[in-house]
Amino acid sequence: MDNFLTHASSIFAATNVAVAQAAGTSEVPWWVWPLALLVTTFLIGIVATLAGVGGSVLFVPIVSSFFPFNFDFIRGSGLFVALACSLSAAPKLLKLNLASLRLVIPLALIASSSSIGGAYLGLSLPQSILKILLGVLVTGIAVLFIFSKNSEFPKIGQPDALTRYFNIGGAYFEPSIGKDITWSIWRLPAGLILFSGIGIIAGMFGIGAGWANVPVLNILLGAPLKIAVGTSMSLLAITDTSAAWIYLNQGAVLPIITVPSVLGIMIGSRVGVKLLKTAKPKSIRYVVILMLLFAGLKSLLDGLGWG
Amino acid sequence: MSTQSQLESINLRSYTSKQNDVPAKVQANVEVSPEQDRYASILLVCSWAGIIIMVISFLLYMGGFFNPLIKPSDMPLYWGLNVHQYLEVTHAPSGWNWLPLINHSDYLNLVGLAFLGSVSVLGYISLLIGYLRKKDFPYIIMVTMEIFVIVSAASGIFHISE
Repeated sequence: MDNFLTHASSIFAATNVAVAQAAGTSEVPWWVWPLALLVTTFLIGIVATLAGVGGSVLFVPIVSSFFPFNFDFIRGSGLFVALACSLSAAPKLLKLNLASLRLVIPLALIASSSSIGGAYLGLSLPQSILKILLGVLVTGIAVLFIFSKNSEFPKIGQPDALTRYFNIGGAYFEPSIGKDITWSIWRLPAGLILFSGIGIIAGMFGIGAGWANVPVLNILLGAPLKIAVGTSMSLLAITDTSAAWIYLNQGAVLPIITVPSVLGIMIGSRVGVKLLKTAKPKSIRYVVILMLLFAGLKSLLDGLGWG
Repeated sequence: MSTQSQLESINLRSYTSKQNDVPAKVQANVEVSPEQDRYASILLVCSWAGIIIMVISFLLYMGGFFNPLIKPSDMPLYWGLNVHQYLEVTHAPSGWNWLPLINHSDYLNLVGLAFLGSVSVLGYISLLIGYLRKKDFPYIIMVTMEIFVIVSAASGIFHISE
């Protein structure tokens, strides 16, 4: 398995180098690009699943670093990548009660409304500014991955008045201990404020916001880790929909970029899920952190005109 | 028992003891609510339908069928432009003006993508019906507002000029 992962990492690096070299020449046949995108997003799908991150958080910085597509179209595609991943994962999580619609609905309303503002900003700001901000953001996400410590079953105090009013809480079966886990949350008003910021970032950069959703749900609101992950995945289907429509209506979605990306990530994620049984997610997590740091730095340098 | 298991056990005990203090108003329910189950089923069926439409239309486009207005082989001339330049150079429609052009395979592709963007609204309509039956007013209001937000975004009323 380690050999396979080493080979996969090498193929990933080699693909990116080949793609970067090809981007510098105009003699590359047109069909190489969608094909290279399909292969790259397939590998992103595997790596992202093994590392437990959303595909689009890697998709936007990596594709904008190595492919000749304009940043506007990459962000538009990133939203559809996140949307498609969420739509394919959410049904099972909802049916297993690992996601709670009573928690999703208030958070999604705030995040999807603000993601429209984020999309507006993303399509209005100069691309150099956006790339600098993306570089800072992606580097910050990498640091967050290094230092964040999610809690499987966080301790919570008394649920706040809003949580009680919305009757948010539930139970799910935890197979590792063979018991039903009862859960609720607290600090919902603070969570709503943070989700408005998360929505803006998601719409602005076209990256799904699982990297931010899960810590807020788990650490701040006190949802058990599995509920936080499931609820985050279900949230993305709604948060990213509003922003995706803004990009689609502005003409910032090119099917020749979006469709191979969506297919590649979805197939890669399914392969990743199968590999998850035998892979070592911790070592993959380090690879992802390095990739994020590299992509973040590259985006920052591009934005500053030093790339 | 390993240290990890012990830690988990301690965490779980403290967690569940806290949960016992949760007011009766926050009630647990191991069963998936009918509206959540229905919503999940709608997402499952519609997302697969959207993806199948997307794949078929994309293969038609890449194969050069249905007379694309911009051939895939010409796309490298345009995909490096920003969206404002792209619309200006290609005279591509914005908003819903692409709909009359779906007889061309490049715009036919947008049908699957637009369908994927509509799946959540379809799910939310089923939720609205469920919450109306239960007379769950806070959720009726929030679900209605969410439908309004997504439909507004999809309508094209948020126009962004260069």
